[in-house]
Amino acid sequence: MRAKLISFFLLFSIASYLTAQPIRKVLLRQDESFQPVATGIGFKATPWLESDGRSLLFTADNRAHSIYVLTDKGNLIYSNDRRGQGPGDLQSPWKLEFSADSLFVCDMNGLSIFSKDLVFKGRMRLFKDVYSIAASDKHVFIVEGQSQALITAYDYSGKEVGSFGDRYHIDPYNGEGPITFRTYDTVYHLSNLVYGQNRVYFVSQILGDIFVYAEDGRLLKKREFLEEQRIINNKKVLLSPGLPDLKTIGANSRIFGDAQWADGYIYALVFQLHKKGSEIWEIDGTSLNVKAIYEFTHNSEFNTGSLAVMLENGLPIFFLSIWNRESGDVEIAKYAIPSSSAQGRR
Amino acid sequence: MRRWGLILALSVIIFLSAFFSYRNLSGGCRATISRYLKDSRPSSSDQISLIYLIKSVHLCCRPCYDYERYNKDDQLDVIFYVDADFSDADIENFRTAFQINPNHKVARKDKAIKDICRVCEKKNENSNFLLIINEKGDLFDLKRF
Repeated sequence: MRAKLISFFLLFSIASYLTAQPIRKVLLRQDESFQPVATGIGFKATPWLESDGRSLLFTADNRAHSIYVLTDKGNLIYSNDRRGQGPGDLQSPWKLEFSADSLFVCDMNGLSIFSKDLVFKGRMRLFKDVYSIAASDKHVFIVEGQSQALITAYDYSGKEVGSFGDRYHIDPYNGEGPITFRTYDTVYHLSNLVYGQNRVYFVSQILGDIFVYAEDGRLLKKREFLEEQRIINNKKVLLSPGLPDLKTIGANSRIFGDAQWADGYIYALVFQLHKKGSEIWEIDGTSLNVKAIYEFTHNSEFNTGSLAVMLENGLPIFFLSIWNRESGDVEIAKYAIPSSSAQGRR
Repeated sequence: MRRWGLILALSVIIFLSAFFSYRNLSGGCRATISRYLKDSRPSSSDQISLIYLIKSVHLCCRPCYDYERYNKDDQLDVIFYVDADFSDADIENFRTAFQINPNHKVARKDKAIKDICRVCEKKNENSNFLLIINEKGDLFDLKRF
C-alpha cells in the first residue's frame, strides 16, 4: 500500500513538473509615443488611463480637470474640460473605470458616469477616501477609507448593495504623533480593484497580495507573491506586531502601481523597477499564477503613472502614461509584444 | 429744470447702488439668513436648532463641523440641507457615512436655502455653513467650513 502511495506521488510530481509552464519573459517593443503635440493635449499631470479593451483609450488629467478619449493611434476624439460642480463637470479627476459602455470618473465631486462619447449619465456622491474602483455591468466596487469592510458594492444609482472582505489589521492607534490613522489606512489598503469573470480582484499595491471575491462577497482565493523581495520587505514592516515605522518601507514601496483586466488575465504594472524601465506581469485570472513577465524600457528616465490594456488579434497592447524626467513632458507610450515572441503565446 | 431732474435721477441711482452694495458686502449673508429665519421658523419652536448647509463634505478631510458633539442628541432640532441634485442614495450614503442621528433631518436645498448659499458663499463655491439658531429664533452664530 505504502509503495503504491509513494509511486503515485512520484508520478504526480513528475507530471506536475513536466506540465508546469515556466514564466515567459518578453521584452516589449515600443510602438509609438503619443506626445502632447501629436494628441493636441497638453497634459498637466501624468494621466490616469483606462480603455474599452478594443479601440478607445480614456485619460484623466487631474490638474487640467479634464478627461479625454483617444483612439489607439492617439487621435483625440472627445474631451470634457468643464471644471466645476454641476452635472458633468469635473474637479481633479484621478481614477477611471470602464464597464458596460459606461465610463466611471472618480473626482472631488464623487463618481460620475459618462457614456464613451462623454455624455453625462449620472453621479453618485462619495464621502470617504477612495483607494480603488472596479465596475461590473451592474455594480461599482470601491475600496474606501474608514470602512469596516474591505470592499463596498454600490449599484449604478449609488445605492449601497453590500460590503465584503476583511481589511488588513492595523494595531490600535493612540492618535499621537505626526502620522494619522488615515495614513496607516492608506498604506495598508492602497490597491487596484479589477473585475473579470464575475469576480472582484483586490490587488494590494504595497503588500502585493491578490484576494479574489465572488460578486456575493465570498472569498474564493488568496495569492501572495513572496518571490518579490520588495513585497517581503513591506510585509515584514507592515504585518509585524505594533504600529509600523512607515519610513522603513521607503518611497519606492508600491509594488503593483496599476492593474487591468483583459481576456482572462490580470495585467499588473510593477512599479518602477529601475529608472528607465519596469515590468508588466500577466497573471492568470483563475490560478493567479504569473504566466508572463513583459519588460519595457524607455529611452529616457521616467516615472510611470497608469496602465491600460487593449487586445489586438488576441494579443495585449499596453499603454503607459509616463512622466519623462529628462524632458519634463508627459506622454502615453504604446508597447506591443514583438511578433517573434507572440507565436505560441498561450 | 431739466438739469435738476438729471441730477436728481443720478443721485437716486448712486444712492440705490450704494445701498445694495452695502447690503451685499457687509450684512448680506447674515441679513439674508435672518430674513429666512423670520419667514420660515415655526412660532412654536423655542429651542436651539442647527442648520447645516452642505456643499461638499468628506468624512476625513471636511467633516460636518462639530456634529460629533450633537449627533447623540435626539432632542436637538438639526437639519442638513444638501444640494438639490443629491439622489436618495446619496442622502442615504451621507447619513451612513456621517452617522446622522435618525431624528435629525436631511433635505435638499430649496430656493430660499439656495439664495442663502449664493449670498454667503461669495466667491468660494465650495463652502459649507453651520447656522446656530437660538431659542428666540435668531441667528446666534454662523460657521463656515
